Amino acid sequence: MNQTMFEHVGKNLAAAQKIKRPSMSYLKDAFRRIKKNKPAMISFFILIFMITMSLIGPIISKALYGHTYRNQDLNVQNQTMILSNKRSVMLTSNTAFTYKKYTHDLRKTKIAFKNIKINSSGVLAIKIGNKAEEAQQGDQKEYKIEIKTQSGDTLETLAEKINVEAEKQLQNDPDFRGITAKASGNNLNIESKGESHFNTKYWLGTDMFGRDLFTRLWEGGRVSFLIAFVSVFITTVIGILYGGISGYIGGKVDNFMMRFIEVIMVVPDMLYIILLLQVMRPGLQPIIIVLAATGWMGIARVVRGEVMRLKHSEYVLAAETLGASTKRVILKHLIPNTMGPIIVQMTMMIPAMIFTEAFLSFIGLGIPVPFASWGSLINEGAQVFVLYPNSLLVPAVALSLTMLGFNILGDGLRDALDPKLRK
Amino acid sequence: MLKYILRRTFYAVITLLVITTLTFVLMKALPGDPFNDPKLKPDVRQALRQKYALDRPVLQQYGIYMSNLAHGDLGTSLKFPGRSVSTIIKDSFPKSYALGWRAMLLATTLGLFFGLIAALNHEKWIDYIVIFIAIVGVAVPNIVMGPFLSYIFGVKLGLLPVTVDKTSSSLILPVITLSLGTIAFVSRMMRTTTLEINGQDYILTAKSKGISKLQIVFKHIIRNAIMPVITILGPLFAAIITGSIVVEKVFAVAGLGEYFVNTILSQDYPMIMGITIFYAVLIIASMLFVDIAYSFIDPRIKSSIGGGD
Amino acid sequence: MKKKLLEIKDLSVSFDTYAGEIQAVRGVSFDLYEGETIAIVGESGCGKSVTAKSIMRLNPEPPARFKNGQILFNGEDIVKKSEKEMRDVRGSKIAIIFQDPMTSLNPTMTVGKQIVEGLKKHTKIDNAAAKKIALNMLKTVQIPNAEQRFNEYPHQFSGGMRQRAMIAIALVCNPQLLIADEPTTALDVTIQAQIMELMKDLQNKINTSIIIITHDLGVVAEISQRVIVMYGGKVVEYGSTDQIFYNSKHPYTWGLLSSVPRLDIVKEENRLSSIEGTPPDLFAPPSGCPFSDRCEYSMKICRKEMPEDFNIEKGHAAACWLNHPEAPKVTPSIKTIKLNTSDKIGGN
Repeated sequence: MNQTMFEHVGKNLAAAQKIKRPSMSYLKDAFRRIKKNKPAMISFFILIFMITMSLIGPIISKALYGHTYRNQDLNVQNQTMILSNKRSVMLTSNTAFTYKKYTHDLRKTKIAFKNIKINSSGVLAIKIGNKAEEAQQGDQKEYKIEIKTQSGDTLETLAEKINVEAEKQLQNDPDFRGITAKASGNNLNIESKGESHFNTKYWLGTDMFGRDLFTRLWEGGRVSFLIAFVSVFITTVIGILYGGISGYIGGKVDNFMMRFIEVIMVVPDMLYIILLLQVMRPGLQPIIIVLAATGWMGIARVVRGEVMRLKHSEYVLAAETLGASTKRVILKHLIPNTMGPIIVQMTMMIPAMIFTEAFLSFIGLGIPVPFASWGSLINEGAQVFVLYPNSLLVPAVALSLTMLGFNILGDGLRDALDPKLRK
Repeated sequence: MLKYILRRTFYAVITLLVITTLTFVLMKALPGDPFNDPKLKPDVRQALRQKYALDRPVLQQYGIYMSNLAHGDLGTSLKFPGRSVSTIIKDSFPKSYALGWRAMLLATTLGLFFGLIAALNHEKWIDYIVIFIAIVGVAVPNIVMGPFLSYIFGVKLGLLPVTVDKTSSSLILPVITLSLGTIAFVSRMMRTTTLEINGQDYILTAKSKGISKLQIVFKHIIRNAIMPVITILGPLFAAIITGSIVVEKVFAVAGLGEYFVNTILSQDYPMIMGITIFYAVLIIASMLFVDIAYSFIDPRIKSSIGGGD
Repeated sequence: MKKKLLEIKDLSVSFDTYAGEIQAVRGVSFDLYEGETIAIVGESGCGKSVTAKSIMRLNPEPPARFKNGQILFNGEDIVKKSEKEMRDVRGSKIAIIFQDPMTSLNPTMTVGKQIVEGLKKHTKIDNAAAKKIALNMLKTVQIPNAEQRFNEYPHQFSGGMRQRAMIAIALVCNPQLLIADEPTTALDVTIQAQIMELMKDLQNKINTSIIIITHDLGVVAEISQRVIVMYGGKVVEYGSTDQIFYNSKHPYTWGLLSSVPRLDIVKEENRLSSIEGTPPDLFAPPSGCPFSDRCEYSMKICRKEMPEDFNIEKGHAAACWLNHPEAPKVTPSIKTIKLNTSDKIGGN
């Protein structure tokens, strides 16, 4: 230990006071935080996608194929995204065997009979193809196959007979899409041959009137988003005014204004909406009006809470003490601090509005036929759902993704804009 | 505490008055005259108008309307003349109720349970599962879930019936569909509350006494976490009611919700008004009940003389 | 010779966070004897609270982690005990009271029940007997109308009363050690005085050892026999209260003593002084003396190497290079008011 080690050095306040992390403005910090939130960012991009497609989707499909949301073509009803040229198979008459259970897939391209007992002799008639049902395949050919069974026939020979007869019958079919019958144990499976390919003309399929779902989906998206955004905007304006005034004035006026809101909010919006829609004809404008009329209360409350909190907050007092004018106080202090919760509230209201509109359309009070909105699409889809799930699945997935997206994004924004979580 | 109860009851009554008046105003604002049918002869029309008091001044009509309400008379249906609205409600409500209370029970118990275990296992896999369910349950609406569940469990798997009949298994799908949104909401809320409480100082105090984890959960955490959830029981109930409208349509239940939807489209105004008022009364009454029950549970209100808000 | 109740040997506790390891406690050692009261003083963030909670293993593990060291209580190492064993220790052998009485009590449980809860866990007595003991406890902590208060809720108690209730909860099982984590910080000055009076009174009555954590030197002077000064996760000086107040040998302690506001200093601008700078970030603690950046007596060696514990006299040591035989002599510029020795209980 040499003497120089004991040389006096003194304080090093620069090091002592160094703030190891860079300081950021409120907005920058919020930005950084939300960028870190992966689910929120994913949701954000999904929503951008949805909105963009709503804008350009119908334009694209019109340019390529001339689809509109109202063109009907009853020849192509209920198509799905994936078309197959498999024909359906059906037993028309059967005295050849008895069975315990019969199962089939959606379009009867694969049927199965379980637990078969073969009769001593009988006749089996099978119909391949179905003119009425297969409008969308454009084929509309039907073939009838008939085979006779004798005593001594096993399930295997029965199947063989079916295959032989089918091949014979379908030889003249230009596409030669026949069937294969297979016996396994006590079960008989009959499967129709063919390939599947993506529906090139109707990318997402068609609905029960033969209208292109892709076009209708994005047209519906336009309507749903338009309603949601406009309603939320109006709601916010009314809410900010009402809440701002109530919070700023305070006292008895504020008390009354808040009680008024409480009383109205007890009853669910849905009842008000339904009542109001009785008075107005269902349509785009009335829906927006009605949604705005029931939505402003939430924002008003939030705004009023923020204004009250800030009115008496210490730093407003500090700013005033330092001589800031009222306008400066409002601009630099009140607004940046209230915007956070307001933005979050707005983001959460959008899916609520979209859902309400969907709900109304579902019960028939929404957008009138033939216009499309996601709600009315779901309503139409639900009607044929059991047979043709495609028409429901398409708008349902779109709606769910959108609502999910706004919810997650709203949560992320809430966390990012919360000043208490600043690091 | 008494003051609290009185104040709540007062608000409930005021709200009821506002709703019924609003309904009356809207009814009067409806376009057209219910008896506009040109086939009606003038004197018949006059007689009908007189019967329904449509020829008296508005204020008097209001008075008659309110006193009718007080007696439980909700008017007569236009589409089913001769059947009073209240009888129709009386007949169809029990089916809705059968779904409703089950959904409510399921939603609250599952919701509380999920929220609790999610919070106590913060950021472990069970927490993430519950969060996922919560988000999906909120984002995927009844109108999608209903047909979806009925397709998977009803058609594809063939496990459960898709329409409601006398069997109790046929209630499973509609009740689950009805309760999903609420389960999601309750579990989310319970989770947030429990997390907050878990970080409170008094939980550390409890731990410092050496009592078991189980005791801490039951005696300290649950008691405090449940409070905020109870306060939203009222709105939850309202949500189940509106949800039932969709569920009844999807699962073909001849309950009040289904009736409601049909009357909306058929423009049977007395029915619409009547059912709306019925719903409103139901909700206001249940909220009042919850508020009063809450005052017995929250010691801050139970013990104070003046009563909190 | 008094028995050693608690021996902390080279304790190191770290917190594993998303951003990395925070070394909250870095090699802390001290002893505690039966019946004595010691104070741990230091700024916020110096590690005193973490140390105290570690004695009861109340830090959530994870993210807290015992890096090194032992905590010997009655000869047994707390660090090695299982959670189940700790539950037997907590409340019955070691108890703690926290800083904020407002939030430290369960708002939905009566105060009486909260006192009885710990009692019932550690002793096998019935409700009636437990209630009797609890009522006695309420009287001991000077809460009037004990019978009525037993059935009341925390929100019906005033701040001072709540802290007394906390003390009652802590002492009801007659623990050998009571840890008081800043018990008066959240209270009004007048209530502070009351609580201090109560604690002095209890010191006389029961043989519980007390560790009091505070940054208030007035509290230290009133109630403790020995003092441990912490800074930057380490013990920088320890000794009897007299030794620390009158013969301190560490610049940080000098700084603390000077920061006590004084009305008797003539020049106004000298009445209020503070130590410039802020405590070190325990993410990346310096390799030398943690106080060196803020110390006006800093030497080259201070920046480079951690000072050893230099013995000043019996029971008094300071971790500062100024006490090295080759270091220059400095006289600190502090004036401590001579305390009235008759006020202190227990003596050296």
